[in-house]
Amino acid sequence: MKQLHIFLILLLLGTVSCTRLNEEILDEQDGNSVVTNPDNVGMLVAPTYAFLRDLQSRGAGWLVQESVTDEVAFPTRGANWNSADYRTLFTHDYTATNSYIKNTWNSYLIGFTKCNIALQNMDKMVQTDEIKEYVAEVRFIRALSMYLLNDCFGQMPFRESSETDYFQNPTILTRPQAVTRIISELNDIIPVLKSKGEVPYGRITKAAAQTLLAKVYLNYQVYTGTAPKFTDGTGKWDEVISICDDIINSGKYVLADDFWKLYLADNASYSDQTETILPIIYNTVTGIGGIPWVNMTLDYNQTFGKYTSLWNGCCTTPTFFATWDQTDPRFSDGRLKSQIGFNLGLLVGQQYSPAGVALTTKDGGRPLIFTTDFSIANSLEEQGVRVVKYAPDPTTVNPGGSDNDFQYYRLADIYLMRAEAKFRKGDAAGALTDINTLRAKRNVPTLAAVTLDKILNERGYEFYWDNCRRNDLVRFGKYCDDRYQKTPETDYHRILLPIPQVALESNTQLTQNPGY
Amino acid sequence: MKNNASLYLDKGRIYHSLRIFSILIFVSLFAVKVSAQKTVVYSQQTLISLTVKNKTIKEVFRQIENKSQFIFIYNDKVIDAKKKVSITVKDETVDQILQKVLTGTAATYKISDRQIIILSAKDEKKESGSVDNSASTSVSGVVVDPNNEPLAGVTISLKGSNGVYISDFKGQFSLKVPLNSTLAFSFIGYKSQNVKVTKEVLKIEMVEDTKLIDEIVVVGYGIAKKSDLTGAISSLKESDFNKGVLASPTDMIQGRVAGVAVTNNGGEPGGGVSVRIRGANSIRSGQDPLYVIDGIPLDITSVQPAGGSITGVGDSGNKNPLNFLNPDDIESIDILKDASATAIYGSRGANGVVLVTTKKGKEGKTTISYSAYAGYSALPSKYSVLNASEYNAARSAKGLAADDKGYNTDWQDQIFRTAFTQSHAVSFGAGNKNSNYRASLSYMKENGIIKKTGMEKFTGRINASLKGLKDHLLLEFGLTAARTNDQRAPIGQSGGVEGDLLLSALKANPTYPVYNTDGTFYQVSDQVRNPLAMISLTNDNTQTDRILANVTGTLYLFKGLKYKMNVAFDQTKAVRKVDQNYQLSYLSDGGTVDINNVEAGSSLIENYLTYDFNPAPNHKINLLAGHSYQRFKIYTYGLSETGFDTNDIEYINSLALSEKSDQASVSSDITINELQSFFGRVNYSLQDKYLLTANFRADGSTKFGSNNKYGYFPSTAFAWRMSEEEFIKKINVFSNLKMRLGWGITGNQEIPSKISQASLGTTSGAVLNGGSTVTPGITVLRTPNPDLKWETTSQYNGGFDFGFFEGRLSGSVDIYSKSTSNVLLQVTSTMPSPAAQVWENVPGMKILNKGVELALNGVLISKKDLTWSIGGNFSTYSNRVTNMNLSSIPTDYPSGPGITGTASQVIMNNEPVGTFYGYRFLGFDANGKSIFKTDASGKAVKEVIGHALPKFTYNLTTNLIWKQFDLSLNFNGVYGNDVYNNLANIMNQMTLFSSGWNTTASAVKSTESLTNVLDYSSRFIESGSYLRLSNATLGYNVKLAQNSWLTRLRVYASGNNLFTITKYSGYDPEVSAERYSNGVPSIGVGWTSYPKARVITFGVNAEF
Repeated sequence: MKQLHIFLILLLLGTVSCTRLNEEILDEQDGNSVVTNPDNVGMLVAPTYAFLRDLQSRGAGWLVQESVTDEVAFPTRGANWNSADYRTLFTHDYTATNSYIKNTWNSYLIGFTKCNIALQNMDKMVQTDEIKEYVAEVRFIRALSMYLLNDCFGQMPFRESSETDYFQNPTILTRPQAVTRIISELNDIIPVLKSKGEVPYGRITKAAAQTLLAKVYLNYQVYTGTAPKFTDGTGKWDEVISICDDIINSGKYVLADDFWKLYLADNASYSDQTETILPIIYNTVTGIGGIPWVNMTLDYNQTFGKYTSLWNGCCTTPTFFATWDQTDPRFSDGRLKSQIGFNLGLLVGQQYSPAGVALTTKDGGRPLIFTTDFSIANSLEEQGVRVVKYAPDPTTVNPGGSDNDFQYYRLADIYLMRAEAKFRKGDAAGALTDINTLRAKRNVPTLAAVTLDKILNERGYEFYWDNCRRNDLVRFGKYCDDRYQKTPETDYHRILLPIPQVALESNTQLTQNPGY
Repeated sequence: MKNNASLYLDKGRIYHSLRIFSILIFVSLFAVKVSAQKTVVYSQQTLISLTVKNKTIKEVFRQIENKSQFIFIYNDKVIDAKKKVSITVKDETVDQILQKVLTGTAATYKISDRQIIILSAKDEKKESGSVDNSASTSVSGVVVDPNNEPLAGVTISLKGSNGVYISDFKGQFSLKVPLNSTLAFSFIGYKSQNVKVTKEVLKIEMVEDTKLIDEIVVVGYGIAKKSDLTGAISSLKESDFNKGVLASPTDMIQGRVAGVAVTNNGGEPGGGVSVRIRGANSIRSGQDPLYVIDGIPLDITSVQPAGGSITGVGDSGNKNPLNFLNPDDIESIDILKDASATAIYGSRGANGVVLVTTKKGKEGKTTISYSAYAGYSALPSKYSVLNASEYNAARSAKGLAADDKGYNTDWQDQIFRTAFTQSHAVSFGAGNKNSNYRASLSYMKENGIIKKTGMEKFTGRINASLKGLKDHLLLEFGLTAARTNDQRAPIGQSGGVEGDLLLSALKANPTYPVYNTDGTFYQVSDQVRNPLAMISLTNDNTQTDRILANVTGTLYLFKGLKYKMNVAFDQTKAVRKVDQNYQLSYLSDGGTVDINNVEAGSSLIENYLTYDFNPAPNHKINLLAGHSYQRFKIYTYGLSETGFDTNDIEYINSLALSEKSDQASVSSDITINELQSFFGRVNYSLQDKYLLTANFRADGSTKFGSNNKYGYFPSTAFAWRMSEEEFIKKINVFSNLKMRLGWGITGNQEIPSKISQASLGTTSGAVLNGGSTVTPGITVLRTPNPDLKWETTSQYNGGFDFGFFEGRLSGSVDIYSKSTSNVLLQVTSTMPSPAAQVWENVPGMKILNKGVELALNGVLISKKDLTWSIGGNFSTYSNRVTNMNLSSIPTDYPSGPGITGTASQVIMNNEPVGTFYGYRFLGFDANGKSIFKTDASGKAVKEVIGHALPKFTYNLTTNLIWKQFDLSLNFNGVYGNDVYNNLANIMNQMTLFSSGWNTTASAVKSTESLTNVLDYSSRFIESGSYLRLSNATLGYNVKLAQNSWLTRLRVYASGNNLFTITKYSGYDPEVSAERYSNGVPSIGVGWTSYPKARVITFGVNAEF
């Protein structure tokens, strides 16, 4: 009997063998085999390109960089759009707890890490020409994320691509260190990167990297000078001019004859044929739709096609509105009016349905007349001039995202950067030539003389809502100025955004920017 | 398991010794297993060794009891208490020993099964005895238990005399007594009965007394006598359960246990519930207790598949994952509250453990029972909004353009209904000495008070047991199979300007018609919805099938040593099918279909040994050691398709009907987790007065990081049965007094899977070829944390169990202090990192809970025809978060237009969880704009504006039994908590009125501007205190003829949620909107939750 007992115990215990408790992950492709196969290098690179789309996030980078300026405001409208985080960006009362600033910080740094992960894995592969090319492209995207971080926050935590212990404290790059690193990265990759035509549309080219380098030099005075005018900083105007010369003289880009064709929903091939240096590709059918520009800004009652859910949100300011000559084709374009009821560009005054019926507001049934005035604290439904830069596809079945490729760098920018550099260097005539070359293409009267204000305004006409206004206003010394609904002049320390509170709490080696 | 407990009852000067198992037959599950043991192992051939020097005979009996399963039944008078004996025997039968011991006394004995009845020699000759030889009548009879089984050893005393006798082993007695005298029958565990001798033959049926009985309590991996417990454990038997419409075990215990807060998420049939035992130990989700059904620890991760997505309607609330159980199958629910009790469940014990025990077949008894009820439920009160004329008048008074379509529609009437509910349960069972079974089948259909909502469920359960290997092996089998069909309407836990069904009904213009003239629904736009259309044009059905099965084998190796193996299997398959008709105004791309599936399952294998032995007299030791392995798998997959544009057919029946040329979108997700545990326990009892327990468990989990796979969870507890001490006895106040002290460490591993690992995986890709082909991305998806480990809660508990007035007043009081460290939280990564957030054991942070619990039960009147008892409980606790290295953790972003961007609740240092933080509202200025408290510079400042945790919760229950009638009332209440009425924030105001929303009469009377900004503020923080008559039941036990084919018939009427006293302005103050922000749930937020119904039911219970 005793033997039977022992036997039974052994039998039953034997049915259980100790497990090692290794966690199986079944629903995520085990990337390890993928990332060692050079055929799959595109899959490593793709997340870094996906990060470029995040630069346009209306909850992060785009929102912050635009709505701290005169170009975009998100006013509270009674029961709608009520967030102090929107309002304080516009009124420059933002603090370290602003969620959109936090999102911006995270977005840029996650993008930076995705580049590092791709680089780390590509580093293990045989360095064929294709791999080298991809490495250079990814290094560009990483440099871009560093440029944006440095530009907004004045410092950045940094890891080399070989550093994968995310609980180790990162190195903190000061502004001079970051700028030095970005320049050396770009100088490394520019010789490796291919030119337009040698790589597919949408990929990073030599000219894109040159553009970023030109931007670093264009802002070099800001990075080395003292707020708010930075005139004590070091200007690198010659470097800017030389790089811009190189791009313009390459002959691979031509200024577009039709400005609005660059901004239509189906803008890829025209952009490729003309002036786009770095497009960010969107495609709603394959699930990579961009910002729902139209939904964000248009009034609830401006519906058309499948666009039945409009949110009546952001608008532009009287300050920016006042810079315009309203005959400028870039101000307004009516090519889609019969389908959508409104013009492209800036929307002001009475609005109409596609059938031409005058619209009224949802609240109270007043005429839907967009006014230049609004109140950031509490606006009526119809207040504020709206902006439709990226035109909708009236026939789309996916109104929740835009199809338009984003115009990240265009040749127009190169002309205007060169004009600015020349002007700041003292070559007003050269600047005037460049700016008039562009204006002629845009069918607006050429200028008789050029000033810094005119250069800034021209940049506004070209690039409004294109995510460069903050950088421009800082460089032109106007970021802190009195403007509509933001008085008095902002304290200079706010030129740099605050390091988010949560970032300070998770890394005690970071120090908050002065003044916050 | 205790198998040698002697019970002591100071009643009639009779000492009984009684095996606990004879009571077990009536109250617990292991009855059969136990009876197996007693027939074989404790036969008269059992060999006993004994060495006694100069002890009383009673002491010898006690030692025999300790070494065997015999019980002695005797009258003090029969044995000479002072006589000392010495005896040394080795491996002798009990017969041999007794002969030696009783030699020279006037006593003899009879052995019947395990019972040894000591009789005086002359009694034995007469079989029973007579009290008084001069009596004028003789009376004989039999004493039986409620199962008609003879009861041996029942004390029979003649009132007014000292005569005391006991029934024999056949339950029979034969006495000579004076005419018209009264006999008192008493027996431990049963109510005493006084019977007037009016005839010569009596049949006395003893009735169980659940109050006096020394209850059996289910503990982790075993059972224990309540008197032997060292930890804080609350037990509920069938009579303690809530009454009325009960869909799940949580419904049965709500309010009944001090320190256990059960909060329903509204009143949706089978709706979700939050159960918190002794407060919140964590601040993320995963605060629910561990549920163990007949020894099977359940994974209660929600298996609710996702529904269809509707703009402006947040996720629907979870259903209660315990709905698959049939309340009629549940015998008892035991709740382990303190760490000394829960530590045996280690890394899953921190939130308390709820042990559910199902009913089993009973030995020697064949029963068939049927119970049913039917009833109606209705909305207790509507949310008060303007009717059409009030609406028009208000618009004109406020200077708004008229928007009058000429109708007067009460939109709440359109969506609510009076709903019918019915339930039927049949069970039958039987048992003999070698096997038993119980089978049950139930059907319940609970229609919701909102149209097209409800729950229908079918459950079947079989329990069976069988003895084998000459009674050395006991096999037990349990199987539950359940199908639950849920029908739901588009109600969300959050929402936007458009609104879910309820918000759409409340905000809708009351002058609008329901239908167009052509009979179609009148729908204005995607944002102005017709709530009846939302119901009618949406079909949302979930079918959940669940099978829970286990087989347990118990092998009796040798005396006191048992080996047990438990193999269990739990499988759920849930399918949710939602189709939305293309006519719904808010669909952007035609009709839609969403089909989502969840397949979840776990399998368990446990092996453990228990050993009971007595190393010396008065020392009892019980040992447990075991191993457990459980594997969990959850697989979800689904598809959704849009573009349907026809009316003729339900889209789910013809998915290819969609106009869309591209594929339906599909998704899937799978996780597998494993838990491996080693556990052990020592119970030590000295003189049955001093009880010591020590637990230890080591738990390994796949969820933990590679550097911390195992967690270790010790606990210990001490109890002192003070009422056994002479100095307490001398006070003569307490019928029971026990002090308990305990300490332990438990864990929590309820965190998502995969978070400790980096893992390369697929992510959003990009177009790299210039065309429209997206290259998928591969990258590191998470910031990994290989050091991740369980959250640790250490808990101290001190308590007293007490009884006064012979048990007429009893209760317990507990005080505890808990501290949670290694708090698991998703915090900001140290950038640059692959993800913004990382799961971390936040260094230094602590969550403290301190509380007091009191439970009281009093029997005010206990007469033959009238019993009145009152019970109640009270609990209070304070919660505090400290040493957090984060400034604050925001949660609950309010829903509705204009208030979504600001968290309503924050977790911050030195405040409890559930702290409302925002502007303090001071009123309106001259322009009707909100004024908030400001700082010196005039800027509005935020501060703490409320606390969602109550100051205390309480429950009061009273039972009145008068003849055949019984009446019970159950009141629940909470006091001192604040609720954020998110619904009022967007309904009880004027801003949205100007955009066409309906509003309340009080808002119209206010001076609020039509363009006031709807900031979240203290304006909508309301008192959440309430007192609810949660149930009243009036029953009648039909008197049945002696030989009726019915053994029991009871009819009753029951009402749930009959009234609620509260100042809360929403539908119901019991709010629990399921809102999470970054995995951190909020507490005490009222939204458009499905309102709780008032229910009246009529029912019948019959046994055959």
